[in-house]
Amino acid sequence: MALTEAASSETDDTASAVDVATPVTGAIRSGGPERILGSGDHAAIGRVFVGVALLFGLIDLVASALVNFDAAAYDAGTGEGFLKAEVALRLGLNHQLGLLLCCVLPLVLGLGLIIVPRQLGAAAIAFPRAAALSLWTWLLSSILFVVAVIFDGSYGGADAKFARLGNVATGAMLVALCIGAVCLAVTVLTFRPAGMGLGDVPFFSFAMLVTSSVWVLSLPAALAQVILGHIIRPSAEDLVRTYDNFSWLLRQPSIYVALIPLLGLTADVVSTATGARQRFRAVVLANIGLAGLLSFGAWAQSDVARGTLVWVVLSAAFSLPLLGVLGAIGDTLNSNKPKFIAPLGYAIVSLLLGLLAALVGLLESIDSIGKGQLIGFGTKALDTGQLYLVIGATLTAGIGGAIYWAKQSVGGQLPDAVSKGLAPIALVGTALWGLSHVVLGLVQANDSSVDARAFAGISGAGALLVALVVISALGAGIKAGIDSSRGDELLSDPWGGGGTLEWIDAPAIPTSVESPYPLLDSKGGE
Amino acid sequence: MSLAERLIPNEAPPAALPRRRQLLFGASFGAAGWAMLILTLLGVYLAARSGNRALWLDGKTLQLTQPNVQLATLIMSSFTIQWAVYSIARDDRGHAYLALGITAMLGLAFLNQTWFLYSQTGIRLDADKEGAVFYALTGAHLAMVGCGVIFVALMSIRALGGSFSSRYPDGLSAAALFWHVTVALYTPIWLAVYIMK
Repeated sequence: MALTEAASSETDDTASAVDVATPVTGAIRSGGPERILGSGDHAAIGRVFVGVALLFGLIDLVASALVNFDAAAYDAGTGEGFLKAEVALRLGLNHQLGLLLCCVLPLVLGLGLIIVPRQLGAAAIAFPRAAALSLWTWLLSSILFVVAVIFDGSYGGADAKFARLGNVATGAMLVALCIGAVCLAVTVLTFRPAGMGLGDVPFFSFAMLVTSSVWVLSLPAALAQVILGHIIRPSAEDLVRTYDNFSWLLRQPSIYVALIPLLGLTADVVSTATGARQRFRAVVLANIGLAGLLSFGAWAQSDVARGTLVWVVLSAAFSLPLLGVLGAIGDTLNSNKPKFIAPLGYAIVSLLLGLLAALVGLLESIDSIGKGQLIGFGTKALDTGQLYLVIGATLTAGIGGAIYWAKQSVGGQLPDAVSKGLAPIALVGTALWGLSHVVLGLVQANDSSVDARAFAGISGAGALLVALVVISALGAGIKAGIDSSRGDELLSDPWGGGGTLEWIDAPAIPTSVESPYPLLDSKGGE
Repeated sequence: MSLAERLIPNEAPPAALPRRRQLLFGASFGAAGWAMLILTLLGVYLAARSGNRALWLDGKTLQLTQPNVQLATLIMSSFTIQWAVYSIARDDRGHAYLALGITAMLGLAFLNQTWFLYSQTGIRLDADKEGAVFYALTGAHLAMVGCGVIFVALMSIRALGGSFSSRYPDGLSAAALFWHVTVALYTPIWLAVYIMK
């Protein structure tokens, strides 16, 4: 009997004899915090990742709204809005980094940690202690990052010590996310049941394998810049240059890596909504792989690299895998009447937002053909708009994924009204948040004197709408988690059309499978 | 019946083997991450040098003896760690332990040589133009070698404990893979930093 287990009143004679023979002076029972802090359970680690990432996302979205409203209130006479210029600069730089490293990347990582082992029918994740190390390193460094920004530090801050603290925290976040990515990728590669080849892996797991691989190749390149920026014992001003040196992570093609998981999620959700197999399964997998190849951006760190034809072609091509996946799922939706389940709305909204972001990238690529700018769009505004669209798309997909796998991620279903109502708000909010900057960038073509204030105000309102979505999803998730009395075991499929292993009750998970849809096989589905 | 037989009876079922290739894939991803870190730093080093060609290493001496010996040391260690993998795959535990010990010793020798090289170059971290990039690049590789030595040491301890055999050689194969990547990464550093200067 484990020391943490409660003694049973129905123990048999043998067990009683063992208990008598083993003097136990006091039973040790671990409480909730101890179980979370010491857990190597993939679902517990993933839940903390998802919950805290949404919380940090909320902070960064409010910061984004503040920065944009400040830009809307800009007074040319004083050279400031309602924030001091240095505060606006600090928040402007750090909220974008925070949205990526404290929110969307850990959000999809957390979702992957919860779901990927279950989609593979595995009881655990590869290297569970490393996964826990990843979580706690990321959490601590994210808190330090926020603290550094608050105390006039991090990038754009004036306090040298807190500026360096922000830099160290950024480096630690990059390392932590890399470790988590390795755990996920190795899980997909080695924890599959017999009969499940790499081409039979559920779409979301395959997308997480591709995403993790690109992270492992991209994030250390950014870490190199962080390390280099740190060892010169920099002043606060020097660190702004360090930020510039790894800001390629926030631009195309690197930023597209955040969109890859939503391709897998969308394909899985559509299969469940229609209760059917994807006819063009290979097309979806190939496009997810292509998206991974195109989103590797560590080679394009310098301005010289970003001025090459290779950059133009690769950046412009990212809309192709999105269109490929859209076509394949469109065929499935067309061939099989779907049930309108809440996650389907999130999946389609996030894919559309991702397509918008890719189209913005296409425009920027075309603009950079030749020497200088072909059309003269406002590149900075386009970059900002594209970043917001990608972040909004991934946030929407992440929330949709948490709702889709609510039984596994929070323990119980979220209220249907909340689930279905948030997707349209996310669409409108992200569109306002990102497209206002995109439109500003377009109207700035050859006329940089366009007044940006109205656009910034609209973007700030959009950020608040997205924040409303995040806080509602977070609240509903916490309530569902509290209301639920279930433990960590799998429950059956609430949507009625799931075909992959995460929808099977744990004891019934087969040790070998014969197709990518074992549950549909058992039902005799087409 | 001996104490060992009483503690571990012959009829005890064998322990279930861990999943195959888990460590191997983990080490591959880890090595790939390190490679990207070091290659990025190498790129930054070369870019900084081309921008400051006239002042680069002005008044400094980067002798070739140490870097050449370091490269030779690492190449030898690549052979010895492969010897360990070869031996464990044939259940030749004695040779595997010997090869692992020599590999770890060569790794430690590399660390020692690098430390000596640092004391000879006279490059200052915060005062010289090449200081930050030189120490960032060579220091990152030094750290990777350090991680490799720790990895080899941990796998050696597990090998001593009987975790690896011809049925399950993954731990040593993973350490060997990581080590080979570490050695391979030193080649462009040796060429770019010490030979081409």
